[in-house]
Amino acid sequence: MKTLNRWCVFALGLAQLWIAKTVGKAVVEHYAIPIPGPVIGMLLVFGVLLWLGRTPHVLSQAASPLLAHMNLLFIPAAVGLMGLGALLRDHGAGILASMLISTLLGLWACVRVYTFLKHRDQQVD
Amino acid sequence: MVLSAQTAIWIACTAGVYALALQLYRRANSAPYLHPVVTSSAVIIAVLIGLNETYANFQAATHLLSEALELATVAIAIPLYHERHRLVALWRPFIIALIGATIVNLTVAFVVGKVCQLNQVSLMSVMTKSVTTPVAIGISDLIGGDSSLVAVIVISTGIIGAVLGPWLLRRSGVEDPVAIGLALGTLSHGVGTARAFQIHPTAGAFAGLSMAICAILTSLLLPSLMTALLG
Repeated sequence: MKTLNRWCVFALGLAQLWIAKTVGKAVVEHYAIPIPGPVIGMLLVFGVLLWLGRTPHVLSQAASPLLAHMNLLFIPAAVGLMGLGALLRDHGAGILASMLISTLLGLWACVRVYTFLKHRDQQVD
Repeated sequence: MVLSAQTAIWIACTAGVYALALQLYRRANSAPYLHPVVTSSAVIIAVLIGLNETYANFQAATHLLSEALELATVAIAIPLYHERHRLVALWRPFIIALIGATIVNLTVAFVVGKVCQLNQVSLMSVMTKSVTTPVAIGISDLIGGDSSLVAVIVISTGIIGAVLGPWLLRRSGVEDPVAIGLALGTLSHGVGTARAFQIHPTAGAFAGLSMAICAILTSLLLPSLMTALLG
């Protein structure tokens, strides 16, 4: 009985997330915004939570397993690697170099700028 | 959407492989090269090739997982809400670092791509690398990339950031969960966010927010940046 109850709560939470996603997609389509629907959906839910002043139990029950196992949801896209043999033979090394160097420099720049500004702000306060 | 036998089999297979990959990853103390996305996809690619099955079939069968990814994206609002006070306090360094990192990221990707003499399609696809997959595909359509290449590049960038990011940040002496989340979310979107949640809940929430802002920023910035760089 308890397990059944938990599943119902989970399903209800999923339904709420789905509604937010669908509204997000409708907004994006209606206003022709170049941003994905789910991102808008996330901002919508954030706004609703700020307005409510708390997180409904149902919603957090559905969110936790999704967030904990997000990696599972990336696998279908990653398997797409198998269809790109020819292109990767010609340009794979260049693509990899470009991805690797820019990602590492970007990470480095990000934490440097953030840490610098945060310390400066704290000194001013 | 039809829930066919194929759908059930391939999703069960993917989930099973993922569960084993996760066990392996945990037993190996989160060794970066055993990131579950890397090991699971390697196994599944081997299985598909072994069974002489096409990627298109697998992709169609596991469509439900991609749908769930959209719900997971919405779900990031919840940890974000828990971090609202910190968000108000830190928004200025947060936004400036995010914009700075995005510009460095895009410019370096372009320059290295040019130096490596990438063809136009590959170069445009690489430029979308740090935004979450659905946005990346949208932008790539605007600037002339290839959407299946984009999907792979985006995931690979995510993995590079999730694998090397925590190592680089630890070496640079960064322990602030906000900084870790910001860097992983900005440079490695959802895969980085998943990694950030494993490090610290605060890091995960900020990674999710950074991913969202980076997606918005890049879709506004990239088309004009491409005109500037190419012109």
